Amino acid sequence: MITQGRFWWLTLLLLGLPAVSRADDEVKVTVLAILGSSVDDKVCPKCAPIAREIQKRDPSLTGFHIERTTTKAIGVGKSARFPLVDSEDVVVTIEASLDNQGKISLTIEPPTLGAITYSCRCGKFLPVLTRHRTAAGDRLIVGIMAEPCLLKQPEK
Amino acid sequence: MNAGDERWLEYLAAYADGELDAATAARVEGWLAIHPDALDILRSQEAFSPRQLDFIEAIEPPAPNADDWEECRQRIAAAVLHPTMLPPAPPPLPSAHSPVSWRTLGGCVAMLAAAILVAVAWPTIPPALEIPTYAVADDVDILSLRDQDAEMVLVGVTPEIQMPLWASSDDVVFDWVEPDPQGHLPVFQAGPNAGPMVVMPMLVER
Repeated sequence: MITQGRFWWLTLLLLGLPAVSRADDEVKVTVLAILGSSVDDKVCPKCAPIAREIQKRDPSLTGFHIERTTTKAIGVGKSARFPLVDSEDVVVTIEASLDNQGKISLTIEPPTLGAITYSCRCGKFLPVLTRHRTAAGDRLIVGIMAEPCLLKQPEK
Repeated sequence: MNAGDERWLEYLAAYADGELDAATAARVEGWLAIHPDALDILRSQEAFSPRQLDFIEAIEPPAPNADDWEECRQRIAAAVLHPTMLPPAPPPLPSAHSPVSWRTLGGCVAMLAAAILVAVAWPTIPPALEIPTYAVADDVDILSLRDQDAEMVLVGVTPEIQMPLWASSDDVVFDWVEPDPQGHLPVFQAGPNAGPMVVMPMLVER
């Protein structure tokens, strides 16, 4: 016999189960907003590896620093907006969580670009050199990374 | 009849009840002979004498009929029962200005006025001073932060990346690319000696 108290507990449990499942399927996305400068020659240590690659494309950029870092958890099939600089942002949509090859599928919509759908190994940043320039003339580079890298253990 | 006569009244009552001996009874009869007006008293006393008990008991008191019992029942019900248990009273004649309605309306207006007065004029009581509880590192997750502000954050887990790992050529597979609103497509840099990168070339000003 289900008493009124048990009824409410069951209701709460049933409402809470989907939330737990969603939390398990969420993907943590980190977005870096990097600014490349033509007047500054300082390169932040975190930017050094990518600075060389970007300079191959745009030799005028001599200084690099990370302007903003944003992290959000997004459910599969859901989107989130990540602030960058000025009023610019990038919309990230999780297409699929970690596959058996260790990759996560995303769709991104960076400033001045159309939507790009790709799969990237978890924990690795994909750099995107945008056309957006700040008022100071710095060029915006966006780095996007998704994790976790551990596959969820199958339930026994 | 004087005070001495009152004593003779007692003798008359005893004589009527047959409680006197023969000598005393003869004296009472002699007294009655010279006081004939006392004979009426004697007769009335004899009417209530215990010797008339059989006659009194033979008389049946008047029994109430059905109407008497119904009237009695209604009087008892009106005096004892709760008003809600009584048969419903006939409905009152309709009146546009019933005093009950005015009382109800007046009560509602008074309650409304009191509620407004309390809401407007209730003194603002300042909250009691409490010792603030400050968050510790695990209590705060900072989702977005300018790197130059990271040093000013006292508590909380910042989204700062210690050393970003950039994807290599075999880490990325592009599935779909849309052009920008002007129809321009980005350039994909990839190769054995260069990490993958999406590059949107700057427009050449003419």
